[in-house]
Amino acid sequence: MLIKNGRIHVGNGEVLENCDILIEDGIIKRIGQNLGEKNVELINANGMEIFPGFIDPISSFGCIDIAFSIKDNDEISSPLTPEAKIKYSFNHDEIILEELYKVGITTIGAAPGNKNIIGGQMAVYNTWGNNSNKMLLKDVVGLKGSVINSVKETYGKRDLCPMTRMGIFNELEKFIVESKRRQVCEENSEYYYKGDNIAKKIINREIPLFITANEATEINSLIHITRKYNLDIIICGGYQAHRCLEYIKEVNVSVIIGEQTAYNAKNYNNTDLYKIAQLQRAGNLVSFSLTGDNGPEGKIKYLWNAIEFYKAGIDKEEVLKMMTINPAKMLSIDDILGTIEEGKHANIVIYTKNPIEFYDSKLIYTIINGDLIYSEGEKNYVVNKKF
Amino acid sequence: MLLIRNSKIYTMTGEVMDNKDILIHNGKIIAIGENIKEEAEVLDAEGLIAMPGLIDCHSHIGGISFSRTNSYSDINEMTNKVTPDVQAIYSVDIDSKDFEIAYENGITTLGITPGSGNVISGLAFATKTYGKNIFEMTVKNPIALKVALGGNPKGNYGKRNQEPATRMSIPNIMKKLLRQAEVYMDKKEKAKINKDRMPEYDEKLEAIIPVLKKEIPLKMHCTQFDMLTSIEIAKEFDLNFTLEHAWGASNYIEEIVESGCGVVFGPVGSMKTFGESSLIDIESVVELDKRNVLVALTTDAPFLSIDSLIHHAGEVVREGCDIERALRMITINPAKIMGIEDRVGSIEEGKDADIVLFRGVPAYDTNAKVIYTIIDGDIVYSSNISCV
Repeated sequence: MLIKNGRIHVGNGEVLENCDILIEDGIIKRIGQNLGEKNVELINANGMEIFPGFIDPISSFGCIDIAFSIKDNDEISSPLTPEAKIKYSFNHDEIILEELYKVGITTIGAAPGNKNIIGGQMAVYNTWGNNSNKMLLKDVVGLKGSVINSVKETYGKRDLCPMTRMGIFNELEKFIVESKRRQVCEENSEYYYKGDNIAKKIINREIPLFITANEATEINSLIHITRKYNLDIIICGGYQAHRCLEYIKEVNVSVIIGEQTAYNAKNYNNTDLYKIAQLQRAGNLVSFSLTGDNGPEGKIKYLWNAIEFYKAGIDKEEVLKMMTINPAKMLSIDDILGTIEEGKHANIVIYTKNPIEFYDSKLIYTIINGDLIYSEGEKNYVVNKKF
Repeated sequence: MLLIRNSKIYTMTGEVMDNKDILIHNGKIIAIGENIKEEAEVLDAEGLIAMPGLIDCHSHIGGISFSRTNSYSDINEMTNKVTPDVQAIYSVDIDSKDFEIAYENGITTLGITPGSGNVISGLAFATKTYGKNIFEMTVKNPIALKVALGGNPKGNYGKRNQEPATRMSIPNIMKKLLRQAEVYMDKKEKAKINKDRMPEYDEKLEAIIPVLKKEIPLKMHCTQFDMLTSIEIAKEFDLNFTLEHAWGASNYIEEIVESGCGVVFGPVGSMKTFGESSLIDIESVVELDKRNVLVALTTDAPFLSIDSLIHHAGEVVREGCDIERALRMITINPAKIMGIEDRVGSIEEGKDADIVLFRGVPAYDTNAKVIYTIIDGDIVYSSNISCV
């Protein structure tokens, strides 16, 4: 496949004018001007804006079982379920229902919800494919947890711990301590702790902890504990992260701002997107997600959330980083995705105009793994072509 | 007096006007023209766009709040499935932060309605977004009787093993009440001649009378095929009505056009599931607008933030609608739906001086910013950015 003459937003801040992209076997083979190649599917992107496929770093799309009353993304039988894998809840029919690729989201970090202190192991999926195995990019990219009210509401109501924030952070610290102890006394079965394999990865900083923390007090407590044990954490939700900037910079944690418009989350928290985005200058990674306190929101809000950052005064290429390379780094898939560069997977979206800048921008093509999976104007393109 | 100089005016009823002045006196727009010479406080709006204050005619602001420090839920009186006589105005907490968010983002008038927990939910009213006393801020009360079809009333009462447990019984409840009200109204009419025949006062049926007389419309909460049920009921009793939310409208374009109703579409951006949110098709309003259906957009605030109203208009533009037509869906159209278009919704002489000055084209430039919000002639908000 050859994409001709587009304006390429690389994803790292760079913009290439009038460039072609040659895709072979799902990989970006060459980027340059006037690439000539015979026998290729040709896409004329003249005057159009080309972006790396957008990435939502924490999402429960596909993992909920929306038709059934018991949800699949929160294992609410115990507040600590590090051994639970989101992989086993991922239903490719369910994620395709939302058609995330129609706004340009080509990849998600599939994650458990917000009801457990440690909810389970995350995996990375493309948003389109014939089955969940083919959509899976990488398993065990992080461990998802939460310290927000949803935890108290889930367990406190049953008169179980945690009923309070004291309980939440105590349980979290106990989990870390147990994991560390297991690490030291590897051969000693006395210290067996469930999920110890993943716990070891956390202790060794091989993978990060993604923890939902919204209010300043939750964020500060979280940083206090994880700093004590030198863990790699990523704050999700983070609606009051602007009140903890110094602390966040000090420990160099990343922040994923939760969905802003539903239940007025941004306004009620006075979230200062401008200040939070300045963390990028200090070297922290910033991103945002369609997932708020109450699970995922509809795809169109992904663009609205990007616009809110732009409206707050952030440069549009900086906003784009939050949608591409930053989440790719958080999910440790930046070697294969997150920018349009030779050698990376061909997850590419083509818009008529920059959707961060203009409401009348239209997504024209979505390419995942080198396959043209959505083309505007051709209804049910995906269905016709692949199923 | 306040004189807004040299703005580009989106009047919302006529053409877009370049470089015109707007003269305001006693809270009203008294003149629009070129180089108006009048001794007044001058607001230089060169390079800015003047819009009538934005309007969302379906919100619950002040009646429900999800704020952690001050949350309350006062919009569903779910002690009886039929509560036509309750009034949203009594639930509104004027201290809600949402009012501030509204006028800071250019929204100057709101329709505030009871929720959809009951089949017959109660009376909605229209209010300005700035002020100290809700009764003084109110533009019109009531503007409509809110009723609800579908999952919300069914879920609330079905759970208690009460009617309605299904969609089958919802229209029956509505029709029965409307019929009772017809009889009641008739009896009252006859009692004008013979006062002994005056029926016993019934506050619920009293609240229905303005609907039967077409003085106010029914605000019918419905999605997907519930729209057809709504249309059938309204037709049977010859009522004015609007379809509220109207997700899935693109499957019922013909029926909507033929019924002559208004449509209040939104909010958009819910996760796609089965049933009520299986199709959330904002593109349908572009077609409805083309076919002369009166269309407004709603955020359902605070379920979605009120400032997302402009995102909603932006999505209509993305679906190919003319910008000016999309902006009407958040100005003059909702004003008409609430029956207050004589006061708000457009920039015309004689109307309330509710004006928003934007830098950038709203619903086109994503970063279009509100520079000033003026309500009843008073500047209630100005951004820190200088005008020049």
